[in-house]
Amino acid sequence: MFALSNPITGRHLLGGLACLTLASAPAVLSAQELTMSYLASYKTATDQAIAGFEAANPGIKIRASYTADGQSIRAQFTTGNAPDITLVYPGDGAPMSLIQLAKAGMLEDLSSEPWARTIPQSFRRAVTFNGKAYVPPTTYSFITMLSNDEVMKKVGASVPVNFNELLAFCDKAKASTIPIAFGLKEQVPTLFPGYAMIASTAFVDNPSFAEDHAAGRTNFAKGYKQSMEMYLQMRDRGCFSRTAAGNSNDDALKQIANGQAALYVGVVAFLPAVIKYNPDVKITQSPFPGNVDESKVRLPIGPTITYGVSAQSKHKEAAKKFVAYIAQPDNLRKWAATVNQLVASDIESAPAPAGNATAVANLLRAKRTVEYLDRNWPNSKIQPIYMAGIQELLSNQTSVDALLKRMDDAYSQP
Amino acid sequence: MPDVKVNAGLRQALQIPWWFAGLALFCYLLMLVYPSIAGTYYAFTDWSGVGGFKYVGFANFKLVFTDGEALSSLKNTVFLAFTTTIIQNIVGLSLALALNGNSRLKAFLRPVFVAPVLLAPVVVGVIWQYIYSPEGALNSLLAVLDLRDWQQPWLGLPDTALWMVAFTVVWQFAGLTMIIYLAGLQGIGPELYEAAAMDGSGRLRQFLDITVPLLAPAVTVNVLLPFIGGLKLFDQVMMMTAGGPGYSTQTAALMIYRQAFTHGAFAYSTALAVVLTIGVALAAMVQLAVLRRREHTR
Amino acid sequence: MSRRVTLSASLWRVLLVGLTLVYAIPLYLVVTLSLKSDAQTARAPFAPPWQPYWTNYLEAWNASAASGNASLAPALFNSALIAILSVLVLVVSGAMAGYVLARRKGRAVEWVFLLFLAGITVPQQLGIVPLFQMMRSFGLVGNPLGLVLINTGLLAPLTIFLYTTFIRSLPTDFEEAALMDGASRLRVFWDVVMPLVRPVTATVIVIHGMHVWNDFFMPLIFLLGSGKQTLPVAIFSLVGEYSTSWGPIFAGVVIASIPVMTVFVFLQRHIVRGFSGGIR
Repeated sequence: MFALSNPITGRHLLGGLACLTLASAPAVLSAQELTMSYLASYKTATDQAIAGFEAANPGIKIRASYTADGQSIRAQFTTGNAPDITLVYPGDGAPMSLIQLAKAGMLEDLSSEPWARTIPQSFRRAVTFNGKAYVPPTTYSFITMLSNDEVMKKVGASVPVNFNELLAFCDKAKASTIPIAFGLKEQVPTLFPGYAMIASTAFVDNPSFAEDHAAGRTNFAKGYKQSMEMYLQMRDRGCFSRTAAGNSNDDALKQIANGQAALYVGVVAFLPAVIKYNPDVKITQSPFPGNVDESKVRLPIGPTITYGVSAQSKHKEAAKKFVAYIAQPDNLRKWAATVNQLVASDIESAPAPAGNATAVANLLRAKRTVEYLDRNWPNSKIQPIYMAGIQELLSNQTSVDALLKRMDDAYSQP
Repeated sequence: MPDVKVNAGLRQALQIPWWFAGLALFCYLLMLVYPSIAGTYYAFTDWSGVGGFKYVGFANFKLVFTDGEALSSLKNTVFLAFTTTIIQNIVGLSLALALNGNSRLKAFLRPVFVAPVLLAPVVVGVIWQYIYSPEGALNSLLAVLDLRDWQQPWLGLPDTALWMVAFTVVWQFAGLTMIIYLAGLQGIGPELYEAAAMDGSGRLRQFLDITVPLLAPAVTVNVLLPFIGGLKLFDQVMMMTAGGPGYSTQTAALMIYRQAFTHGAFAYSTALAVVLTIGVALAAMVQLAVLRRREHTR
Repeated sequence: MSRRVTLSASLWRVLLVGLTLVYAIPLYLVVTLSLKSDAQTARAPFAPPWQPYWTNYLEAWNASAASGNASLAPALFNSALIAILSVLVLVVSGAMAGYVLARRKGRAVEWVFLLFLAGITVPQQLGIVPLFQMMRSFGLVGNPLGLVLINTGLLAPLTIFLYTTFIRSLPTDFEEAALMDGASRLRVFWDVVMPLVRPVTATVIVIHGMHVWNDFFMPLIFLLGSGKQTLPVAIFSLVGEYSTSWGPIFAGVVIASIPVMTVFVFLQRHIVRGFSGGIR
């Protein structure tokens, strides 16, 4: 009525409304800044994804921090300064594992995202908690043994296919080279031969070891003892260099790349780094011979690190967009190619991994695989105890039984 | 001369009102006193940072003294406090004695030794992390000196890593110890030495009879500060080794931080902190008692 | 013949030369490594940088400016802000509190003084968890001003101890004269006492200014991930990101140390006096 009686006022009203609309629009158009914390070894792949995402979403900028280990990110979650997008380890067992973060309410429930409807069955346990999906499956990786073809030829040996051959190889090779490059200064490398040996012993004798463990029918002392003694055998037969305890994983990669070592055990994601250090290197991939019987060797395999949205984030929608971007098949393939891992959705068909890796491919196809052990550990205290414990074990600061007891004690804690 | 009534008035006026201390008291009570008391209280509960908690008596403290990681951390902490204090004083006193007589040398070299004191401990940690790294300056130096056999992964072996941390701390703060000893030495008049020389005392005798006793106040400071600082060591260790390899360089302060902020075990963390506080208080009291007495008996 | 404690034996000369090298070489390495590429460092770690590799500095400044936690530009600003404000509040609040405790008579004064003293040896770890909870409920986590408050509280004990003991040693004549002239007690404090306590103020500025600037523990907890981190935290994140690429890391170290070293060059005598002030 007011507007009708005075056309000038009506136009003013409309103009005012138009101005208001325009005034609020810039709030949507102006750039949002998101923070992200991720693992330094995935910097290239992540930077690539960020660049592609920002190009497709001009209103959103992402500032990424990279760190060598996730513990400081966990501290940020505790203090409320969590990044909007964070790295998440699938399953359980580390401070930054999905189960640990989800239990503490740190992650945003992403069950209604488009990618949440097509999670492969084998990944359900790794990316969901209490029926809710928090992170998309990205890729899966496995622990492989790299051998430098030239060094092997110089030593005059072929790649060992069972544990006794491995020990014999170390005896022979230690005179002229480092048999196995090992970054013992850091904690994570202890997992690589360790998981391979446990997978090929405890889990071969009892394929449902994890379930029995959870039900209380077995424990670390019964299952892991043999693998730890095998670790000591490797040390005593000279498989590791004398300076292994001072080498970082990066140093070990340089050693295998530059021909100073014959073998290296680690996740396949490290292969591009080796090639970067020496583009001419010739590498063969084989499974780590974790058992004296070749037919009992198993390949440790597991879903890899992925991206989650923090429950404290003030930019949840934008963060969810980024996670969905990564989960798109084309982008995921590009990401997977950069980190040299296999896309999650391929797990059913198990294509051959890159490089000279026939032996590994055979194991993958035959499904002679065991999931990464820590994914089944119920709390985040066990893995640090294992990692530090192996370091201490190899430097004679503790015994196998003492370490097993510590792990069993930690398993029963909440 | 002012009469008695004016004097009394002045004395009354110099009864400065309490509100002068208001801001300081407020911040102090809120930021230090209350949290310390609350922390001590939480040590007797099972609080995990979220949700409620219940009283658990001395359970956390029992755990502190049975947990391998905690015992290891406490052992490392005490070791670092002792070694850094002793070595720092030897180096600092030597430097002070060497530079005391020669003012030109002192002016030229003092900045070199004092500069590290001003750097952030984190920065000093980075510098020495590089030097001790397998490809770092120390191993390179050994290679140059044709001592390749002595090359080590200095921060990677449990036996050497803790010593290397100690040397780093000493390197940073020996200059401070030196300054304090130099100030103490300045206060010793040359006539004392002249008199002693005329009495026939040799240099060593003079050192023991004159220098050492008169340096007592400096010694007090130079023993107390590094020791307490050593007990609370966090920055350099966090930067250089983060407690590794294993837990062989983890200090109490580092474990307290980790338990609270990485593992969310708030109550356990505060129990450790209470143990550390008691340790620091004991160390301070014992040292003050012993050192103050030596200051006064000469 | 003036006899001071001197040591001229050649053994001492050797010791002095040795120690000088142990101190000078790491400082030399910081600067030279910041100007060498990884390849140059690997080849000749001790050689001077004949071809300075300035890219390290660009990378330390720009690359980490693009990333979050290692960003040096905001770190420089926040370190300065927190240090200046903390020292300012500490000096004013500490001197005023010291004045009360030094001049006021009564039993309560001794108790309050002891209360402050007790805080000198208490480690910050004891109260860190409740302190953190409290700051979180105030919404001050991630806020540099929160750290100013914390510093004022934690560093009050030593500050007040220094001011109280010093003022107690001052004769009251000047203050009484000013009071007789009709000045208020606040005026007396500001115009008479503050100039007299300049030595203590200098000591406080040096010791606490340095402590706050170099503080790592508190900013690590309260500012990591907030975008408002201080220099020590930025350096920590820088190393985490670049791990063994020492060139950019040392470039960052140089950038972070320039302020402190500049102050040191110009104020060395004052700084040294500040440190040894407690002894004389």
